[in-house]
Amino acid sequence: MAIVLSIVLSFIALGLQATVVPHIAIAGIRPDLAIVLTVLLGTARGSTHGTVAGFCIGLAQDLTNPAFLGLNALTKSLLGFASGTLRGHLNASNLPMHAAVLFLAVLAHDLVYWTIFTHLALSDLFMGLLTRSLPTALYTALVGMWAFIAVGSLSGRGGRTIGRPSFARR
Amino acid sequence: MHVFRTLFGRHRDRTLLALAIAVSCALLALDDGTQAEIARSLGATLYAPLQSVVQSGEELFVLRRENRQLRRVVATLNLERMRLLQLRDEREQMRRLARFATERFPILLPCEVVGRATDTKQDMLQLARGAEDSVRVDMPVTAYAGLVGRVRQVTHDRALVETLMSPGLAVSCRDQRSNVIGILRWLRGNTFLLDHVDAVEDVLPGDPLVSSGLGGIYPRGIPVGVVTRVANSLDGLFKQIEVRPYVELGGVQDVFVVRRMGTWDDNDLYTADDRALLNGSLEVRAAAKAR
Repeated sequence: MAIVLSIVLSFIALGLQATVVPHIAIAGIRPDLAIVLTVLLGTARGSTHGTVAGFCIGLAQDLTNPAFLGLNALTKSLLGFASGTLRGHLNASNLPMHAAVLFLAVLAHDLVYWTIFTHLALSDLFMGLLTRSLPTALYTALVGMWAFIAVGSLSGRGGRTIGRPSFARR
Repeated sequence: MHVFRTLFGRHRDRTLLALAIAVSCALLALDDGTQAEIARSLGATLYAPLQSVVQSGEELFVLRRENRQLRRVVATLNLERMRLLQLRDEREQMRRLARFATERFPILLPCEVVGRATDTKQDMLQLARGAEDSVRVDMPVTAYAGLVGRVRQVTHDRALVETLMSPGLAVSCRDQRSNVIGILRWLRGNTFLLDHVDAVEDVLPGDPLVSSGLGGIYPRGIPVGVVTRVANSLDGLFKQIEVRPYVELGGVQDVFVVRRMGTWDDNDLYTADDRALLNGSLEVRAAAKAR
């Protein structure tokens, strides 16, 4: 059931990213719903689910831009794994915390992305991070934190942690 | 067996991460052609149903109105074309007398945009035309209003277009009023910069920009955009020129690939269907006048 829900959410997120998100762009800066979903699935379901979801979402994005096929799959797998380690430590109703997590997630994701994309050309790397990633991180954090709240309230976890604490499985 | 159980049991998350990294790196290491082929075959399966539903919905609302509008425009353009053909013949005669080189203009291939990159870093369009329609890498792409970008990758039935809004894409442009040349680059949103223009050059807000033809990819004279703001840079050596493109790159749906440059003597400018439409629109216009 969780896998079906993840697939449906992935389709919705990528569909919205391609159709609606360009219309809410501010000066060309768009929120990255794929990152929001990867972090959301990672924190809600753990590292394993986050890694697989990140890989699939990233690969689906790469299919629309095959010039760097595998780049988004790689970065989002890492992001899914990293956000999975946060499982059980995020309070579902803590809005600023979700915003901070998403902000850092976009920056970390983009750091890896630009490093490979620019072949480690430092001036391009920093320019990309400064002019695109930083505003994208802000916008994504502002838009994405509401998704965390929505998922928290839908699963009846308002005020409680999202997912089980990682140590509870052991 | 024990190793397998350890990897996919106790360390399942790390094993999957290692696998994901390995597969991603393998995909990244593939050559451009194989990458494009994999993306085309997988993307067609994954995205085609979604895109066909979205496009059918959009077309339903847009096509009827657009068709009526286009008929009117074609009829008007056809009359204007007749007048211009006369002027062209006179001009060609003068150029021949002055021994000028033969003028060339773009021969276009209409293409439908069937996909758009969801990646936020690069702006790419996917076209429903490919190598089987004679589309090649580096061919320029235009829309009705002006330049869109250039073809970046081609498979047998799809082409990937890098638009002007992609970081790193630069176009040599000429100010149509003063003939000043600069390099156009994307800045943010729908705003571009015209770089490498000396502070003493004559560029004013409202000046139209066209491609200069320098660089060898974009032919000369394709409309690009209009100058919106001119200021001097902090060091006083160059001008800071902001440009708004003619094409709304975010919402472009129909584009034209410049297949080659032709002359007025080319016979394949209009197909038999095109000629029938042109003749039909003239009749529509004449009937409307008679009424």
